Amino acid sequence: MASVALKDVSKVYADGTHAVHSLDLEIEDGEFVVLVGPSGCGKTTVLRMVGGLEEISAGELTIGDRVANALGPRERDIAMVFQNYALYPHMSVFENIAFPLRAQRANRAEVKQRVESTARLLGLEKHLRRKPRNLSGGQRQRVAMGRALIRQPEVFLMDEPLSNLDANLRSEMRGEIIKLQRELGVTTIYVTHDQVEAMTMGNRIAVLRDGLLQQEGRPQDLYQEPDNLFVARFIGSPPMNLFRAVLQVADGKVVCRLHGDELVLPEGYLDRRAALGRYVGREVAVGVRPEHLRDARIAPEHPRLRGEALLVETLGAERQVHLRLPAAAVLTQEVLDVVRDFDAPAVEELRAAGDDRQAEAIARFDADAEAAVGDTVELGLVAEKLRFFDLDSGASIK
Amino acid sequence: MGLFRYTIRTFGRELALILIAAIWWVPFYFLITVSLKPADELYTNPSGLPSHVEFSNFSSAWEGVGGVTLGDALKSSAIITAGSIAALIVIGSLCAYAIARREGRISTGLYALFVFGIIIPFQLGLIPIYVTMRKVGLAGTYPGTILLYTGLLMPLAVFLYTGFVRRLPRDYEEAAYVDGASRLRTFIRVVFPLLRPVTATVAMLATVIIWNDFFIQVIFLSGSPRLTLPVAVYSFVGQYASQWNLVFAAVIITILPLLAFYVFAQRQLIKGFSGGVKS
Amino acid sequence: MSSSSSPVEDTLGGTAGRPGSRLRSPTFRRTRSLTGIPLLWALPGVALVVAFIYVAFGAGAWYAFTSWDGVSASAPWVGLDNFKEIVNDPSARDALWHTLELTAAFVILVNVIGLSFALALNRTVKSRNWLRAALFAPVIVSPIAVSYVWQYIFAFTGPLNSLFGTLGLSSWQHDWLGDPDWAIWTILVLLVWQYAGLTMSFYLAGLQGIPEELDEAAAVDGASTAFRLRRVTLPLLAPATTVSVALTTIFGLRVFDQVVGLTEGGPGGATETLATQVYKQGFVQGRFGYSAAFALILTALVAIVSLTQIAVLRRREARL
Repeated sequence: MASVALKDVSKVYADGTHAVHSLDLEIEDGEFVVLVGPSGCGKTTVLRMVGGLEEISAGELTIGDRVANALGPRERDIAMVFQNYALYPHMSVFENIAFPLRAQRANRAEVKQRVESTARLLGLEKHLRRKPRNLSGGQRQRVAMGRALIRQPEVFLMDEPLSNLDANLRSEMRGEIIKLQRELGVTTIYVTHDQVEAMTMGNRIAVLRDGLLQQEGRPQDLYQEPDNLFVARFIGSPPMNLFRAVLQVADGKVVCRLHGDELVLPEGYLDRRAALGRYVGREVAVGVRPEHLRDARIAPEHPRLRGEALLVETLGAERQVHLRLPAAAVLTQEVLDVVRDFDAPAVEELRAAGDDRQAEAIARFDADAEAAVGDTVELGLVAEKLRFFDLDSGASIK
Repeated sequence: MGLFRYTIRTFGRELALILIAAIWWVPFYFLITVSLKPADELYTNPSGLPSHVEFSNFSSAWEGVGGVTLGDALKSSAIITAGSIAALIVIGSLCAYAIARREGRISTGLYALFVFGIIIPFQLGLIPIYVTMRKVGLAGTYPGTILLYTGLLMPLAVFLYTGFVRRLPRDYEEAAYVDGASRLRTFIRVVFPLLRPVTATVAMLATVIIWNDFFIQVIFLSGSPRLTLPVAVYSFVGQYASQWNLVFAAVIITILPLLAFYVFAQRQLIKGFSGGVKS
Repeated sequence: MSSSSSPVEDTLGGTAGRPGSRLRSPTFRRTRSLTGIPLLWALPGVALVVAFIYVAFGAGAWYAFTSWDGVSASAPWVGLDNFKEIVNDPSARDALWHTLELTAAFVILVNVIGLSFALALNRTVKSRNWLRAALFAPVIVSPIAVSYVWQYIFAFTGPLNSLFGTLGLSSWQHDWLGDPDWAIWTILVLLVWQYAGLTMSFYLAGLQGIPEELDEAAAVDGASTAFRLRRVTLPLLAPATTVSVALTTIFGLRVFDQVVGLTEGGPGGATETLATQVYKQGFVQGRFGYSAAFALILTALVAIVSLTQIAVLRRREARL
């Protein structure tokens, strides 16, 4: 059991690409930390550096109380579950799990006993003689975990272990992994690009983008107080709604002036938001989560905005209304990066549309709310939950 | 990638490999230096660099032996190799196409015929072939030799083509049929161009095999004016045995064409040779 | 892949222009289909192979039981006399023995060295392509021609002996080509030198089929490099090993060019092989029947050895 500390860690490849920039991250003993971000953000590189599979270009990595930079993977007492499981195809399940022990030249009796108990822990007792090619995806995943567990390592590294499973299996395995980790209390670093996974699994999550740490902390903290536009847009499903507005003060009240409407904020709004005061007269990005876009007909107390319904999706427990807002869309690089991760061709389209594009939003209404495509919808924005961001730097204005 | 932590160790390994490769090329070093040496230096300076470059070794070697110059031999090698390759490609691809696109026991049986043909050593059959060809007057001729090589290498060509055609989707052929093309036209215009990778492999393997082949050529072409480079260099050595400078000049002339070819097509060649491993 | 037509498509005539749609109309299917490629196209290929490989093989095998001289019209049947002669003649037995020991040594050495090259090369990054090209080059040079270079190297007054001399290892100097005990090993050196690049390329291709993740996982699991090699890499190289060993065996048994180039079968028959005997007995001495007997033995040897090998190696593969 050990803590892992990365101090100012960077990774530069031979051709000059910076995969990771000066990362500072501390993982406590027994914590489950998730590294999350779009493809290419460097999260797998960080994991591999911790594992000893990538050379650390700069900075210091400490595992437990030892500086681990120069240690090979064998000496670091870590175990890794690979994305494609990396099961030895020519060995049975038994032999796969036994491999780490055989590599340490454990005696036959010990191997047998430990492999069998690990297999029992993961529900694999009946499959010990099978070869990986005869196993289902979920079973293979468990064999990979068994092979990692049997060494009782100090640190557990997982590289997107669930991304190759179908949706149902994924949620089932998620629960199992969490349960296992809690039982065994092993320090775990988990990499995924799925922010839902990140939110549900980690004690703490760290969001990376282009090799830079964007924010780290508890999932709820990142959700409620994102440090920048990227985190705001990346975390949360459906994503945080964003639009542009100019802050103005009129009659002592703060007003957000949108293209086609204005949002009047409650009295004394700027009193508790000193930094925001400096942006009066400037354009900012305004963020509001879908659940904080209320149906004004049943929540009339909130500042109002009018939107046009584009699409209404009834999802059983709620109704998601997609709206066009009378405001300009936020299309900074951060937002485009999030889009690129799941729909790369759309990025070009968006960039071409440029400033003319109108902001769209998703509101979460009650399941029986009346709304139809084409309707003008009165929205109530929960002022307390509005978040503001600097359009140039992307940073949140706290 | 990242597993190779100690770049000193990997650097050392790379250095060792480079050293080994250098040693591996020592024969070529001798080949080049000796071929450029004047005759007396062969004994006064066996291992060093020549004091001056003696190109006349090459012109002497070029003269060949028995009235057949190395230039003639080169021409013969080229004709036989090119002719065989052309025949192999045309006949082999058509044959493989017919086999690969048909279902049924006949085609499976024919395929087996070719696969076994690859394994069967040809030395045994060479004797009756030689005798028959001599009787028919084909021994020592270009057509005869080309025919022989085409027959012997056909199993390999058909094997390679069949495998590839089987994996080719039929959509293109079907589209051509719908457009009203005859089967032959479809093959020539649609299928054959798609077979370019295999054709390249067949051509390259056949080039190396035929160009360098000695056993068959020494049997069928010795004494003939159409003898090829391997035979020519063999006879040359027979006559100029210990005049290494001349011999090596002849050797260089012999291996140069393929080496030049290798410099350009090296990656494809190596891939062609090691392709069978994937099975 | 004969397409089945749905009644709807038939009535509607299919969607015009869609490839293959006309194929589904009933009249069309009868007139043209892919199974209609005439077997005639295969005829030239088949004829050539049957003639030059199968018929020739049969005829050659038959000649092995005659005492034909290749000239006279008749080939008198002598039954097993040729084979008896081979068994009783010490030089013939020697040729067989040379072939076997040369092949055995060759297969082992060329595969071990080729594998080592492949393993080492697989890990280098920078000069990898150059090294691979350099080591493979000897494969494509004319064997007979390059043998003469090695004849020069192994000559008594040649560079190898003079190297030993300058290194002070004069006890290592030998008459490599003239000493019957050493001559055959010069051929071995030449063969290994020429074909290590080929086996290397087989093993490299095999190594590329092994995902790098497996080696990484093994390293993370705590396995030393040797352990990884033994338990992960080598077993997964089994298909490449099968191919390489089988091909080098077949090739070793048939070796001819290098023997002729280096020693011409000498000194005193010390390096004769089956293939050189086939040539000499038949095309030099004119004893075609006797030569065919050698060829038949060679063929049988190739068949037995390679089939056993493939069976053994494939069974190993299947177990993995």
